[in-house]
Amino acid sequence: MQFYNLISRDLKLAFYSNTNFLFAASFLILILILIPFVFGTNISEFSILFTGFIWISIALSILLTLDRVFTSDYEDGNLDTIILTQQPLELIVCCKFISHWIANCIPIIMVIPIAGLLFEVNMQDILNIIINVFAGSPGMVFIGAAISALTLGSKRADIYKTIIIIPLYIPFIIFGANQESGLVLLGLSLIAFIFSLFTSTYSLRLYAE
Amino acid sequence: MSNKLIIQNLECVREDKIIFKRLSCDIESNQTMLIRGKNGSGKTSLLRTIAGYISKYNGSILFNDNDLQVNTELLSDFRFVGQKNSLKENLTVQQNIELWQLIYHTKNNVSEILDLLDIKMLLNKDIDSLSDGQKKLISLFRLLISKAKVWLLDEPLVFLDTNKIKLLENIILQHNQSGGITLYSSNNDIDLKYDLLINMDDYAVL
Repeated sequence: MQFYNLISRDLKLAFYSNTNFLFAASFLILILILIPFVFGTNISEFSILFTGFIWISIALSILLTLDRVFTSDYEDGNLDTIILTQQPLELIVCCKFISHWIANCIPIIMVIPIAGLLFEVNMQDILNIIINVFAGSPGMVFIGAAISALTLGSKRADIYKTIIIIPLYIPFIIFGANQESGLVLLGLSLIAFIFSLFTSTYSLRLYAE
Repeated sequence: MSNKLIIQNLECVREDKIIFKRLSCDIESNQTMLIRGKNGSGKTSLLRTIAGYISKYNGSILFNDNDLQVNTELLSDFRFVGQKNSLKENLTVQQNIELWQLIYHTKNNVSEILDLLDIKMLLNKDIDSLSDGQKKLISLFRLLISKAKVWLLDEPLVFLDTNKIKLLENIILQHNQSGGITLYSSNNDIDLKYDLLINMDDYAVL
């Protein structure tokens, strides 16, 4: 029950700060709109570029919204309030992961078919990309959230965060670009989950001291 | 119902530096303790230690004869209102209250509390448009949102005007009479009524 409450609290927060749900999806579309300006209008190349740009924009939009996982709650004191309710920190961290993934990656996944139509990608390829994103994006969210938990409280962490996180995204992008590697991505996400759960919990335990 | 908070020989260490040491005191139901002290003397550290945020300390803190370092679940009866207001600046007061209700896992009717704090007319205003005093007042809402036994208030009087200080005094009195304990830190000349006084300057290690 508390699990459900914490998730719905985060989703409600995302919904109320009304840019949140739209942000990731519109970011993806805007990046894709830039492609024709860079590469001209030769249609046959677009569908090849499509997968790559989907993954790059997912990586960037996760990076840009990472502040909402722990940092904003830390800065205004809500993290203190949540921790004092004495829920296990693991539970709090899981709720944060799940709600952030729902608020950021589900809109992206919903926009992919529409974006795919714009680029004349065929239905089978779109389906494969969606499966890959579905399997891979949770892992990217987990890693990003863990690193931002580690840098909680340090003032100039933003630039370090990006430098640490981008290399960790490389495996996801390599396998994401390959259409039949959904299972590998799922495995990567699960590994990332274990790693991130422990690091985030540990750093939340430390941050007060 | 009566509660008791006993602090024995508490020593707080942060980043290898002792903040204060040999601090002992007993607080019972229906008592308010004022924590005084210079800036940096450890008032906030003491409150955060009691609230369990700082888990590494020497000595013991007992709540109803249970060690809080072992029985951490008892801390869910504690409310900490710190200098940060826990408010989302871009949301309205109403929305902030809804988020708190989910955190505290409560669906109580809030209209009574709104009347008590006299903030009903602010309900649909954005937090950014409020004054610091109004934000402080709204952050006190968390104390009343559900029943807690121990209130830990870190500098609650900052930004509040005399009427609101009086109001807070009454709220604390009511809480104490129903068996609660209140600890607050302050450096103002105006103080709430208090039963016990602890001066951190006596324990601080500089």
